Amino acid sequence: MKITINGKSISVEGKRTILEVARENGIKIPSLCDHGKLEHFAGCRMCIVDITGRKGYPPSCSTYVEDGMEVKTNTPELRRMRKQILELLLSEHPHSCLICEEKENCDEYKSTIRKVSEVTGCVLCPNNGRCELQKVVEDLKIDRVSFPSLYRGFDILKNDPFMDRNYNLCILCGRCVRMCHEIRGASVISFTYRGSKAVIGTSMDKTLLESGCQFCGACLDVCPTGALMERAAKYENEPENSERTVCSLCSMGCTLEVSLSEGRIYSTKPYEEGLVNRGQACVRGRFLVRDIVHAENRISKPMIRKNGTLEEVDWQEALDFVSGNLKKYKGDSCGLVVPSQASCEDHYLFSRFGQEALKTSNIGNPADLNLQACFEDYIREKNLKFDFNFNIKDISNADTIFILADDLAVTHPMVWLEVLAAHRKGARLVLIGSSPSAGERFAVLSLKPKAGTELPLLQGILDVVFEKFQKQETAEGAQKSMEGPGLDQCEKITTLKKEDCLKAAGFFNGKGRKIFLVDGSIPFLPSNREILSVLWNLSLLDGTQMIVLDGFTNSLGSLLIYRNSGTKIRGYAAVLEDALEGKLKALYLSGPFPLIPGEDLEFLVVQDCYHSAWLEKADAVLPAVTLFERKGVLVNTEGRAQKTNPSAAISGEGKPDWWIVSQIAGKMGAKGFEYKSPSPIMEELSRRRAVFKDLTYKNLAKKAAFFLKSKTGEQQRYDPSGMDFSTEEQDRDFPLRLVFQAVPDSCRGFPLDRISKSLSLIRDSRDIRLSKKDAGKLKLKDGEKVRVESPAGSFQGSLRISEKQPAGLVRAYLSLMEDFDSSLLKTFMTYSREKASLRTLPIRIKRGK
Amino acid sequence: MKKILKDFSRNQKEVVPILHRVQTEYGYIPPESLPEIAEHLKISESEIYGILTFYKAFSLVPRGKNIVTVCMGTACHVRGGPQILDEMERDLEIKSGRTTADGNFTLESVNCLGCCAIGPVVVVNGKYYSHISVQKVGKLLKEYKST
Repeated sequence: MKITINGKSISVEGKRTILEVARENGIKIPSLCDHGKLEHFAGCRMCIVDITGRKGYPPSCSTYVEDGMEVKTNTPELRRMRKQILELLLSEHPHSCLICEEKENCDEYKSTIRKVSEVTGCVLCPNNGRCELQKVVEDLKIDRVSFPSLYRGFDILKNDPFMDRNYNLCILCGRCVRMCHEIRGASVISFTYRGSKAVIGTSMDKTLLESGCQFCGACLDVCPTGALMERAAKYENEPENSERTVCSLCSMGCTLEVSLSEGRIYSTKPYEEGLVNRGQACVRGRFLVRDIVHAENRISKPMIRKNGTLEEVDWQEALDFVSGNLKKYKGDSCGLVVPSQASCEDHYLFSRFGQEALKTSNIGNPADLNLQACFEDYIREKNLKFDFNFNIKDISNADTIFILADDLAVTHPMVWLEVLAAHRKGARLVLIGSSPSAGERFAVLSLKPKAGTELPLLQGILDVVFEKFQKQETAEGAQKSMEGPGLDQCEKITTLKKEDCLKAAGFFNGKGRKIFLVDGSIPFLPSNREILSVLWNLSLLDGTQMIVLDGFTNSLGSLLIYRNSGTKIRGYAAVLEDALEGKLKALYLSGPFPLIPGEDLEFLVVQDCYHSAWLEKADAVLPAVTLFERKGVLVNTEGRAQKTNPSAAISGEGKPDWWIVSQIAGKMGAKGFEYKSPSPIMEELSRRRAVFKDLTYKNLAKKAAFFLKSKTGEQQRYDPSGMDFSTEEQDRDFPLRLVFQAVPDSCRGFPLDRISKSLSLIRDSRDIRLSKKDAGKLKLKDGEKVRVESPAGSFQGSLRISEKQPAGLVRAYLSLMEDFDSSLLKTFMTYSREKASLRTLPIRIKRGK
Repeated sequence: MKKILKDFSRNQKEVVPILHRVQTEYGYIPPESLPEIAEHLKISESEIYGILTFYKAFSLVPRGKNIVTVCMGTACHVRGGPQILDEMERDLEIKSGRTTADGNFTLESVNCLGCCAIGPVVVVNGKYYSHISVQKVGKLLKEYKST
């Protein structure tokens, strides 16, 4: 169809608004409330236009073009009306500076004056120069406001982590409310009150924290004024330049825009065109990067132990010392623990370093502990055909989505946003799991079996699906050799109603595109293998796409590197076992590891970013740098390879992991470690591992998107295996059940709540969450120090009472950090190996010291 | 609360009827009821809060035994509505929108009741009093003070 805007003829395809078409054709229409990612709102009335033959002045942001439409966007009448509307808006927004003749001078010479808390004009506003309202005022050339001005006098809200809210500056465009509601599905904020008293607020005007806000920062990024401000960046000088990089704090691989000021990170924002995140971020990428890179407890210089104390030395001395000592240990008496967040280059060199220089099979990758690793084992062993790759965009096109996860919004935020997008399009969500989840109100069915009975539940569902499948077609080879518990038994074990199980099975049998999302960051236990096997069979029978999400940054990449290395690597649990049994004489720690007594350890090297209790035992300490300070290739949860860029000046004398490892290996006499940059390492990796074929810096720069070729196995067969569904008897001494979750926020295993106090207000890795009912029974208060005791061992934490937590169930984070009881970890592993249950442990809670 | 919610479907359009019912049962909307309503309708608490602060009919604080509403619509306004409200405030010793210490009266104003012809209008507990003047206020309130 054809339309004319201001006399210019334009041809348009599809359903578009006048505003969109005008902008694409370089015709400027002022607007304040419209946002490309959000539904049309037509609240600010700045974008009104004149359409021939139509009464009044419709807003162009919500008027769709029609064939033959004649639009005028800039008549004197429109200009007059826009001016008046803007003047009305400004009458409730501090505006004296906007129309002041001295504005330019003022901006230049009074730069620090804005450190006042009440903002009464632009020069005092932290958003000065970035404000969209300012730009519109400039465009419309407003020089006076003919209405009496009104300062609304709201208190400035500063009691939340990360951000301040000053609703005196708010123009009620509603972008933040719509973002929180439409895209993030959180609906923490709403329009409250009415008319002249209208203001954006939370339920009962609580703080954002109390309202369950996850601090993704999306509201802040769409705010056109200074009403919402990031506290830490508020009083900083304007950033000088910005770099684009890939966030390395979880397995999503969001593209971030990092703005810099004097080599320091000023702020990080999600990149609008990011392939994975498309303008969205989470608390980690939005607010924590600066704190992580510029943390006070960064290790800045190499150190070696001289006469009992660690002394700072130069790199050469440290490297000579470490390589000289490591040469003394041969074979498996030496253990190597690799970082949980490192690039493919690092992991490849760590694997070569372990095998060629240390000559040990005791290489532990923290990713070995994830459910994902367990699944990788399973399909490899059975030679099953499975593709780890998927495209995140496909999730939003699903008709039914099953979710087995702790809380996707926290562990895999971008996947969760796609799930919400699917929900908006009418997809059905089915949640399975005993833990409460923020997404429950979106689900058509939320199956909450008794803690630890996920396996019999899924098996029960599989049985129903199988029966139906058998009736439809007697498939060859698909004989029912798997004896499930039966629905009656299932009802008894899981305490769920039979109808609910049947309903869930019905969804599996249903038509349309089905996806099963499994959170791979759930700490791996041997019994989880059965669950994965049931899921495999389910997905095979009814054609559901099974997606096992990544554990953490590059964990898929690292698994594929170590597991395809050709020689035997014993894995993380084996290294821990050997260390506890005193079989290790030397330990090279570059990743998270529980603090063990380690009396038999003769030589300990720590290569890390942050100070930890391990440093007290270390013989040598080598400072590594974070992935925000260097180049590296990361594989995200989709199997997508992306490159990080150095976005901040390197802190102290830190070096990238690949450099440190190649230097030491070289000095130990290993051949082929002469690398000057990471690019040749990647080229070598792409030649040596089939999965990484063609993955080089050159190809990454050429292609818009690069996915690994991670297809495995050949067979697509039903794989029944015998299982034990006997329920556990209630232990009178240990009446509660504990569920472990992986720590969602960490940098190389170091929990981020210890770097950022603000984060610890949202979630603390030492939290032990208990239901209100159980807390009342035990007479325990919120925030109290408690001790969790189990037949396997005990650990401490602080109590957080949660209303959503089901009674009888306790949740804690499984941290691999130094203060976690390592013997508990080990016993826990053996305990669950003997008794089938999904990551639950019988416990009791006692008041701590 | 559970008993109230049982009578309503889970359709989101039920939010206003539910709030009305809660208001009638308790005399106000207890803040503790918000999470329960939110869970029933599968919407967020802030959405409900936005709706209930929008309408004057809902109150988040307990209200008095007698609800006195003075009309401030255009017709009542020009015939002395504000003076009537002033007199009410003086008599009851509370500001508009507040409840007396003994919990006997809640004084409110609205911006038109739709019966402009009989203004100025005052409504007490749903009973309409027409052509009220400042002089009549004392007598009118006295009637309810004794009950």
